[in-house]
Amino acid sequence: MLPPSILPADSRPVIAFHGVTKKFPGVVALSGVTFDVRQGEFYSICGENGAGKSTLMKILSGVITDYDGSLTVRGEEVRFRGTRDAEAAGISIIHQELNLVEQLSAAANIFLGRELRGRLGFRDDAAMQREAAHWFAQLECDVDPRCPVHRLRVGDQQLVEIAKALSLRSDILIMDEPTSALTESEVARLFRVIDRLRTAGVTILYISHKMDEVFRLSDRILVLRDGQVVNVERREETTPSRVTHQMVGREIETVAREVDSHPPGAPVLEVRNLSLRRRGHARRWRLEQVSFTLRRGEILGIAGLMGAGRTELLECLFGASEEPPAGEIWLDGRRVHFAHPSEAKQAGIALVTEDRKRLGLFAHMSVKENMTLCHLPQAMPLGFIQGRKEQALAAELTTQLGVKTASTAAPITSLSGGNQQKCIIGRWLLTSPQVLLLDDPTRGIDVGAKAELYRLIDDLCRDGLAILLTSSELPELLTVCDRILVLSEGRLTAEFSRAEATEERILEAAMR
Amino acid sequence: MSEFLRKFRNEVGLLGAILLVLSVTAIFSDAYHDAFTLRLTARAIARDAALVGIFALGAAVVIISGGIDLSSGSVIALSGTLFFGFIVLLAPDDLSTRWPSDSARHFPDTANLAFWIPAAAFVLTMFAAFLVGSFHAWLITVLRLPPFVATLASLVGLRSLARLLVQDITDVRFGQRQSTITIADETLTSISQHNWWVPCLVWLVVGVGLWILLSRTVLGRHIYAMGGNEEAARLSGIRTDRLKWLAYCISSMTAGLAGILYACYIGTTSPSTDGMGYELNAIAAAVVGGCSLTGGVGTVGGVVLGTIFLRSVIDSVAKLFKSQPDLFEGLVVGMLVVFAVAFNELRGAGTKKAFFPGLLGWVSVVVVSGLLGIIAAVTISEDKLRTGLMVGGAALVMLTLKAVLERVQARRAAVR
Repeated sequence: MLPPSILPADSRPVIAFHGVTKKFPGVVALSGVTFDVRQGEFYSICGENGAGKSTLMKILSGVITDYDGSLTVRGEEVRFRGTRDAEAAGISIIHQELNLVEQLSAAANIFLGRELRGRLGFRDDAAMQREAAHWFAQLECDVDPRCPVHRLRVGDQQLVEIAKALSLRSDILIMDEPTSALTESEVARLFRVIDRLRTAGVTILYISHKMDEVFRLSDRILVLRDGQVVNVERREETTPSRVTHQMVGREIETVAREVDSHPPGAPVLEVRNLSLRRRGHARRWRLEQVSFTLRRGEILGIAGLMGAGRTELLECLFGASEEPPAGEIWLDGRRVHFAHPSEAKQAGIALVTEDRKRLGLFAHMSVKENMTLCHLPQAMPLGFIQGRKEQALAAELTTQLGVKTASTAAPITSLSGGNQQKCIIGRWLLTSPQVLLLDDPTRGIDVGAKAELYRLIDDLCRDGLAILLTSSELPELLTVCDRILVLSEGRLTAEFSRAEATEERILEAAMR
Repeated sequence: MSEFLRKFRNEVGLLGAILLVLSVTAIFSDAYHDAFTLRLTARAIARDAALVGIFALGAAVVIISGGIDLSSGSVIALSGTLFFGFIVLLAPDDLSTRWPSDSARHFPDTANLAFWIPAAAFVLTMFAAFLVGSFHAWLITVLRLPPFVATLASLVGLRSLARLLVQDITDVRFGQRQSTITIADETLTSISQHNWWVPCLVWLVVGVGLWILLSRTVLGRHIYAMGGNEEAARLSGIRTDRLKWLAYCISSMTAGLAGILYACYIGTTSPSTDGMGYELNAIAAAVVGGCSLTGGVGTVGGVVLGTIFLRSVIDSVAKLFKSQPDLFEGLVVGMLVVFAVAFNELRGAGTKKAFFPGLLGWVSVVVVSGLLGIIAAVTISEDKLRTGLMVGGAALVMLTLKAVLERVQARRAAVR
């Protein structure tokens, strides 16, 4: 059940935007945005990628200083000249990409730039650690203040950011898609923390396009589309589908996959007792005795919390793991050992990686070059690139996948996230694989583009491709997959058919 | 046409800069005014540019692939030593200079070399360069040394190795330890000394070869991909380790080629000084030519033009101020690297860019005007002190004005 809104009716606005407009060359990012947020409110801001959410928050946090219109904080009109001004006004932002120095300890990160000093002006590490521990205790979590941030899990890193904001005595907290890298249990903990903050009177601006989170705690929900405020409503007065509808401005087609319309074919990939060792760690296995079968024309989902071994499993199948796994992998009835991704590629396996920017895209290259990269050695037998042939390959693929781009020679970075992802999937389709491994393919992609990707994945499996898909969003697995395997700490704990699977059952198995 | 300009913006810009430098020199210096000296100058620039350009291309391949090769200067010294060393070892005894009383002393006849001797020495030297590149690749891909460290070790180590080898080779062949080897063969030493076109031809061949490799082949595409995003390249099924092997071998073999040509040019190999600091000239040429040290960006055309640009500016300074070019070379290269890279970085920034913000800005105003004053003083032949003070003072006034204006603008923008 949703908790009732706890907003006192008479609290006065703590933040007020009035007619805020921001133009970038060629784009109006915000036009005439007017709204106010009251003291202690949990205020959600929803919108598709590019709707102007981030621009709005950059203005509020002093990153963007050059805009039209006015911003009022606690009744006074302000114009921040930088993030320090915003911090001084008690506004902190927790960015989607965490801004932490990985090599430094949690305490050092919290006090970065305003280190506590002891006698003689030397740094007082002990005092900073004490204070950090105090804030972590406030947040009911046991993060070691001395632990280097890169050794913390993403969820804990986020808590470091929140502790930092608290130690700045911020009473206005902006959270920009804070859950994009969190597991379900970490999300639950984050919301417990948020709930405590709210009862302490902290105002929270929450940016997200995940409806279940927005509807958990919000007092009011603002929907932005194309830089304009579409609607502001109290949570009780609206519904998730209504908000989604307002965000997109059109009905989202839910991919209605007809179950059993395409019975799966012969087994393509068989995994028997696959194990992957972990060096120098209390938990000895990243993957332990994993066995399953993947059939032609089947979409097999892999669920699991962060660190459960989803990515590691796909890497093992693709020959990309740091050390060779134990156990057997059978492809098309033959036992295979892949020492390098190129061998897996040769054998007909394709991997679309999880972190698109870091592991997938070639940012300096064009759409065309990004698409043809994997296929070039086969397409150009003499090793020379024939421009016309390459162009034809790319042009055909863009039409086939419906990639929206000005031309195939345009830089890949000019495309939206969804279109970039289509290009990367296309890159692998050109190699005509038998097995497609998709590692969280819709991460960071907006709602409309997700639906298109689901349709694409569905088409591919109808064409007889065997697809292994992981996702950090359970509803996604439930809509797309024929079967779902659940990993927990490297072990396979459950397998559900499409009919059996529910979010609760999967979660229960993932934490087993 | 506009598509062409956008794609080759860097190359067109460099070409314009080269023409500008040459025409300024032509106007203010009499060196270009008669046909004879013009021809000599053109040849000198072409030869010097070619000698640097050959291994600058190799360095650029490594930079594009996302690495760095600091060893080229020492590979030049080593390969010159090996080339002449192999020749001395292979050359037959010179009967006319045989020591009469001591039959153990033979002197090699290096004045009338049979063709096979330099040819064999060439092949052996290039093979040694290939081994050096392979060694780098092993250090980097198997032992996981950062490229900077691996090639830094070679930079220091190989020069020392070359000096030791010269000692031993001369001991074996001449009976006494020397620190240089000199070859007397006319044909060999005339390469690149009189026949200025030989290095140019080699440069052309290497350039065309690498241009085809980088822009027309799948391997080249893979090199750019690896330089742009190494992990993504590996996960796309590209054998990145093999590509690195190729890149470092290309770099060391072009340096080897240049080392052989330098040795022929001078006629003597002296590993303690040969190619000293040249690795930085090569990297500078690549950077001025548009390569990015973060990898994945750069073209053969850009590097060739970058090299020519650097050499023509060095030559122009020598002509205009009638001084020894090598005295000015470092200063010129350093300034051009700063200008070229800053120019590329600032192209998108527009006019609003503040150059002297904060306390560092004020210190930089003093540093830059001081530098300008000193440069003016050392380039002018008479009245050095007064010129330096005047130029430095004028610069100080102007830059201070600029810094003040920037602050006024910033304040106004903040108030608005």
